Amino acid sequence: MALVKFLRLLRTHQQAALLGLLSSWCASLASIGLMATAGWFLTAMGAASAFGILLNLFVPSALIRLLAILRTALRYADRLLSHQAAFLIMEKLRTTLFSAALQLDHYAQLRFAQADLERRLHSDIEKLELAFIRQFEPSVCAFLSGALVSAVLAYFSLSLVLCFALCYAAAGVLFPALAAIWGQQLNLQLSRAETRLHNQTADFIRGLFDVTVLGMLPHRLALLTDLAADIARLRARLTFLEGLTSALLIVMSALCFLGIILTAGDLYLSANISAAQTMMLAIGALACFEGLQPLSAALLSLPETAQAAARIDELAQGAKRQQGTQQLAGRLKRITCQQLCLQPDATSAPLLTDFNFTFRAECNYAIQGPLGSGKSTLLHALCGLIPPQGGTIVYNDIAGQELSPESLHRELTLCLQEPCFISGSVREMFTIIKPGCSEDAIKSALSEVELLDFILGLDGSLDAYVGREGQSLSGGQARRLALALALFKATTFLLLDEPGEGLDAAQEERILTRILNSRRGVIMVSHRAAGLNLCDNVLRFERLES
Amino acid sequence: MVLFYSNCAHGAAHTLLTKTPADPKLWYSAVLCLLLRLLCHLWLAKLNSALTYTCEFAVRRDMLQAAAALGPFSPALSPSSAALLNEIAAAITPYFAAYRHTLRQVMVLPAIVLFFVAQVAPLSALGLALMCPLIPLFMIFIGKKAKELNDRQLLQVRRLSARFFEALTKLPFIFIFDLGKRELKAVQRMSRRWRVQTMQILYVAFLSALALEFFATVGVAFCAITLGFAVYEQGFSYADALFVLLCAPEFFLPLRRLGQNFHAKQRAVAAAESLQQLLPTDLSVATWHDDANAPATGLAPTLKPTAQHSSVINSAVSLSPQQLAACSIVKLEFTQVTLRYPDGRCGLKNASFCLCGGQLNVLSGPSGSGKSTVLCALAGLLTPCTGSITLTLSVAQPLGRRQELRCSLSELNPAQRQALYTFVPQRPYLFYGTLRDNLRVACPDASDEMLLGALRMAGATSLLSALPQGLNTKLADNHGGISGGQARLLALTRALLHPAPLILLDEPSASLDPSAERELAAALQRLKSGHTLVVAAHRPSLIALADTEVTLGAR
Repeated sequence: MALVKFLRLLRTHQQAALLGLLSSWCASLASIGLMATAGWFLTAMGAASAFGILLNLFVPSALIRLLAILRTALRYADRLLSHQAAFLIMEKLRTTLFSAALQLDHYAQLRFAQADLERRLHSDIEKLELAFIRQFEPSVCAFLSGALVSAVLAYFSLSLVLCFALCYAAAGVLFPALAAIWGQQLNLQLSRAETRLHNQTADFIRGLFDVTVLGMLPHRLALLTDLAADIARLRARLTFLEGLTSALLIVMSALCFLGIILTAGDLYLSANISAAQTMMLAIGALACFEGLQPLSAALLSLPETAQAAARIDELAQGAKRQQGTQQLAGRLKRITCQQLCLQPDATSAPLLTDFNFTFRAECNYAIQGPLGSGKSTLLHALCGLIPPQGGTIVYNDIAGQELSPESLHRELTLCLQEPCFISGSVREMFTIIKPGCSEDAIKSALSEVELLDFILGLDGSLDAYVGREGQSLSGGQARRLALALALFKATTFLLLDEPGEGLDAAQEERILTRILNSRRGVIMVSHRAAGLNLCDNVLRFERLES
Repeated sequence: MVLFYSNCAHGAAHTLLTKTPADPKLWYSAVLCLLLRLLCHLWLAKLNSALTYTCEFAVRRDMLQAAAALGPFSPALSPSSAALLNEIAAAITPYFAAYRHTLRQVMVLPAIVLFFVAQVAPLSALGLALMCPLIPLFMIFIGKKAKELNDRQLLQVRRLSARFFEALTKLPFIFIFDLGKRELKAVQRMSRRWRVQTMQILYVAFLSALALEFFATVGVAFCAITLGFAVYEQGFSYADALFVLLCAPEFFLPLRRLGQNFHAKQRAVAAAESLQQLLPTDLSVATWHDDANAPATGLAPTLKPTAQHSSVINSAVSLSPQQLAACSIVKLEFTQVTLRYPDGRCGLKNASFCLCGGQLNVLSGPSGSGKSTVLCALAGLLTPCTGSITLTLSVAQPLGRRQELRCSLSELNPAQRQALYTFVPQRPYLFYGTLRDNLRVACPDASDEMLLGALRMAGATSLLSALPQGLNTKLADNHGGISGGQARLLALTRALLHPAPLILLDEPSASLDPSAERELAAALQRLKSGHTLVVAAHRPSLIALADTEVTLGAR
C-alpha cells in the first residue's frame, strides 16, 4: 500500500528518478563487467601460456581500462542523480504536507500534537528520502543485474543459473527477509520509542520552566533518559542484525563463487566452455553480489519506512477545513448567528446551544460568563477557526461555510487569549500583516497600547528582535503587543479575547477606553468591569448543566 | 578469507590448467575458511552493536542533561531543538558505529591482504601499496571543503525546523491573519535553498568517494593487466596471479566502505560542533548533579554529629531538602537587588523590600515592572547581579523548640532551594496527555484521592465537574481542549501537590470569572495559615487581600 503511494510520488519526478536508476544500474553493470573481463583476461593469458596459443592482447586490456573508468564516472553520476531525484521529491512532499497542515481543521490540529506534526514534516520526510536512495534504487538495480547475470549464465548452462540464483536469492532476499521479520518488531518498537522521545523532549523543553519550578527536573530527566536507553538498546540489536545479514551475504557470495567454479569446472572438463569463460562467469557472478550489499539494511528498515509513509499519509488525508469561495461585497455590516450550536472539541458536550444574535458593525459588545461557558469558542467560531456543530453564522447575507476565509479576515480579526505572534523584529511583525506600511502607522498602533516608549527604548528600537513567543517581553507587554497587531489590522470587526489580562487595573481601563471610544464593531470577552460601560450590549453566558 | 581465495585459486588453476578434477581437500578447506570468516563477522557485529548502544545512549543522555541545565530562559533552547537533538543523535551514532568501525578495518585488513599478496607477487603488492597512501590524502583535501559546506547545511536545517515549528504552533494565528500563503512560500523557498545547498555539498562530498572509487577500480584493472602479461610473457604462476586478482577488490573494499561512510563522518563532525553550542554548559551539568546528590551523600556525615549533640545549626545551608520542606519562612529580604535575564534583559533594578512569612504578600506594579522576575529570583532561576536576597527560616528543633536561621538564597544549592518553594507560572504549560498525567507531573505517584484533594484545595472542583471525563480528560498541546482559566487552576493544583513552605503565584486570577476568583481568594486565605504566599497580581480584588503589598516600578 505504502509502496504504491511511493511510486505515485515518484511519477511526479519521473525523469530524475529514472536517470538516477539508470546510471546506478549501468554503474553496477560496469563493475560486474570489469571483474568478469579481468578474470577472463587473466585466465585466457594463463591458458595461452600453458597451451602456447597466441592472443589479441590489445582489445581486452583496453576494455578493462575503459570499464574501470566508466564505472568510476558512472558511480559518481549515479550518486548525484539519485540524490537529486530524492531531494526533488522530498521538496515537493514537504511543501505539500505543510500546506496540508495549514488547511487542517481546528479539531485535526488539536489531535495531531504539534511536536508530532513537526516530526512528520521533518524526520519522516527524511526517512522517505533515504528510502529512495537506500532502499528503492538498490533493490531495483540488484534485481535487474541479477536477472542479467542469470541470463548470461543460462546461455552457458542451466545448472550454473540454478547455483547462482539459489545463492543470490538466499543472500539478497531470504536472509534479509528473515532478518526483517525478526527485526520488524524491534523496528516498530524503535520507531515508536523515537516518536515518544521526540514528543516528550519537545514537551519537556516547552514545559521546562514548569518542570523546573515544580522540582521535577531530575525525575523528568530520568524518564527521558530511560527512554533514550531503550532506544539505544533497540538500535544496538538492529545493528547486530544488520551485521549478521551482511556477514551472511559475504559468505553466500563466496559459496556462489565456489559453486560456479565447481560446476563450470565440470563443464570445462567436459569441454563445453573454455577455461577463460569459466573464470569470467565465476568472477562476474561474484561481483554481482556487491549490488546486494545495501539490500539487507533496506529490508531491515522497511517497517520504519512504511511507518513514516503511513504517518505522512495520515497527515495528508487529515480532515480539511471547509472553505467557501464567495467574497464579501463591500464592508461587513452584520454577523448573524442563527440557532448556533458550538462545542470546543469533537468529543465533549456542546457549550453553546441555540444561540441567536446579530452583531452589528456600528456597536460594541462585551461577553461575560463563567469559566468554560463557551465565550472563547464563540469568538473562534465567528472568525471561522472552528465550524459550528449546528446552525449557521451569516456574514451580511453570505453563510459562513460559503464565505472564503481570506475575504472574511479582511473584515474581521481576532486577538487570541494567549499572546501569539511570529517571531522576528517588531517591525517585521507589523510588516507581514500589512506589507509596506509606514513607520508612523506602527508607532501609532504601539502607542495605542502604551508600548511605544518601551519598544523605542529597546536596543534597536523597532528592529529589536523579540524572541520566540515574545520571550524577551513580560507577560503584559506580550499581550499588549498582540493587541497592537490586531488593532493595526484595522478591520471592521475586532474580536478581543480577554484583552485586559496581565495588565494592571488602571492601564486596562485606559487602553480599553481608548479602543472602545475610537472604534466600533468590537466584540470583547472579559471577566472584568473595565470598559463595560462603553459597550452597547453586554451578553452574559451561563454554563450549561448537563 | 585470503586462505579461502588461495584455496580457490589453486583449485581452479589445477582444474583449468591440467584438465583434471582438483583435489577435493582444497574445496573442503575453502569451506572451512568461509565458516571461520562467518564467525569472525558475527563477533564483529556483536562488538559493533555494543558500541552502538553505548554511543547512542551517551549522546542522548548528555544532550538531555545539557538541555535541562541550560534552563528555561536560555535563548539557545526552543521547542524545535527537539528535532535538532534527534538529528544530532542520528548523525553521531553512525560515526562511531560505521565510520570508526570501517576505519579500524582500513588499518588492519589491507595490511593483512598485502602481506599475503606480497608473498606470492611482490610487484603487485608494491603497486597496491603505492596506491594506498594516495587515498587518505585526497580524502583529507576534499573532506575539508565538504565540512565547510556541511556547517552551513546544519544551520539551514535548524532554521527550517524552527520555521516549521513556529508555524505549526501558531496555526490559528496564521489562519486569522491570513499568513498561510506567505508561510508556505517561505517554507518553499527554504526547502529549495536547502536542496540546492545539499546538492552542493554532495558534489564535493562525492568527489572524495569518487577518488576512492577511482583508485580501487584502477588498482584492480592494473593488477589484472600486469598480471595477465606477467603470466603470458614471464611464465608467472597462474594460480598466484588469480589469487592476487581475487584479493585486489578485497584489498580496496574497506577503503571503499570508508568512502561511503565518509559523509557520515562529515555529518557527525558538523553535528558535534552544533552540539558544542549546547554543551558549553557541560560543567554546569556536572555540578547540578553533584548538587542534587550532595545533600543525600555528602552532607549526611556532617549532619549526624549535630543531631547527636543537638547543638545549634549555624546556617540553613547545612539543612537537608527534607528539613527545609518542613520548616517555615519568617522573612525574605531583598537588598539593592538587580536581576538580569540570560539574554541581557534587565528584569529588576536596585530594589529593596521585605516579604513576611505566614502572610499573603502581593507584588503589584505596571506590566514589565519586574513582578515575575522577583518570583523567578525566589525560585532560584535567576541569581542577583548585585545585592542579595536574605532568607530567615524557622526550623523545628527536638523538644518543640524552634530556631531561627538566616542565610542568603544564593548559598543554597538547587535541591535545597527546590524544597523551599512551589510555583504557578504566568503562562502555565500543560503537557500533552490526560489531566491526571498533568497533575502527576508534580508528584509522580500521587493517588487519585490526593489529586482530588489538591483540586479541592485550589478551589478547582467546579472545574472537574464541568469536564465529563474527569481526570481522564485529554489535553492537547498548550492546554487545547480546556479554557485558559481552567488551565491556570490546574497549574495551581499541580503546584500544591509539591509541598513546600513558600508558594509563588504569578497572576493566578488571570482569565478567571468573578466566582472562580472568589473561590481562589478563599483558597489563598486557607493556604496562608501553613504557608508563605508571594503573589504577582494586577487585580484590585486580589491586591485587597494582601497582608503585605510591595509595589514595584514606582518612581
